[in-house]
Amino acid sequence: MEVKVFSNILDANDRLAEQNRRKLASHDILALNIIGSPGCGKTTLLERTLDIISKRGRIRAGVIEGDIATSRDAERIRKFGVPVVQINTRGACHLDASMVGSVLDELPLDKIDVLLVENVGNLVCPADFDIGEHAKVLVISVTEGEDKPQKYPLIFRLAKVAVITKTDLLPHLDFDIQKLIADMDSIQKAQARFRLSARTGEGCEAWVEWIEQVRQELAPRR
Amino acid sequence: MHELSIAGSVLEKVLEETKKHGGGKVTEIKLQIGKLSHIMPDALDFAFLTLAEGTPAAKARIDIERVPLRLKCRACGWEGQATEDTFACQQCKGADVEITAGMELVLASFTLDNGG
Repeated sequence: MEVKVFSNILDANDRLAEQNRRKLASHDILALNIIGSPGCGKTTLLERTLDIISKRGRIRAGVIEGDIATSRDAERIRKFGVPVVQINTRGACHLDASMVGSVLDELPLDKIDVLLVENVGNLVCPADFDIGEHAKVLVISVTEGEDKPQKYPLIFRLAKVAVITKTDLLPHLDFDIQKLIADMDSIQKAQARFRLSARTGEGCEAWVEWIEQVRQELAPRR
Repeated sequence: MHELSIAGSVLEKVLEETKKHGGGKVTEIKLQIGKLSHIMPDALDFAFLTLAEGTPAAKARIDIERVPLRLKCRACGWEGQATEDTFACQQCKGADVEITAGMELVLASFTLDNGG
């Protein structure tokens, strides 16, 4: 006999992601899932972001760091005095909803407005796993080449935000940023885009303003 | 990627449904995997065989239907299969498209031989 099922194989992850989403919503937290290749500048971007957020003083941040091993990234973030939890996946190449769900209660959720989740360095697998975020933020650096969008269509399609990093290096590269943008447009045009250098700070204020604005729209302060 | 955990989820669901339908041997399992999904059919096959050993699904054949990427244009209403390199509407060349197929990871059905 043929048994019809038609169930989503990733149902277990998706249900946990919804649980995370509901928990975050109950605390009015904007959650961003930061995805990019190893070395593209995710942690440095986070450091600059936390620095600007703290100086502007309008919202409070919390961080979840995801890595296969070490707590090096969490140590860097700790210097900014924000709540941070390190997840070591011990081999898994991406964060999933279960991992994120298991650490949410280690953060002071009533004292956080934006939760920045730095995923494991990887342009492939994190795209497949909903962790309960509002938006996937793709970080792509100018040292990675203009041909990546069509090579990694899923993440370029799903990301609601794209941050092009390391723009301070442009004078030393044969990198055509318009070519990258055109390739990105062929996959997804409905995407907030930022070009910045986390190292020099150029362009970073606009990125933080976007975070504050989206958080404000999510939960307007009374 | 993650074929092992995907195979595990498929096996769990198939065994659960097999029990509900009075047991038996699973001979074939049909999956629908979208083109955009990062799953390799051969690796999934191998992972499943490894996990299913000793279960009613130990000899099941995995049949994977690779679902092509289909788009629907919100601007002009065009609907159709996407070409290789772009998500643009093939009628108006616009970028306001939604994906209607090609991202799924679905256990569609399986064949149960209850010997009756």
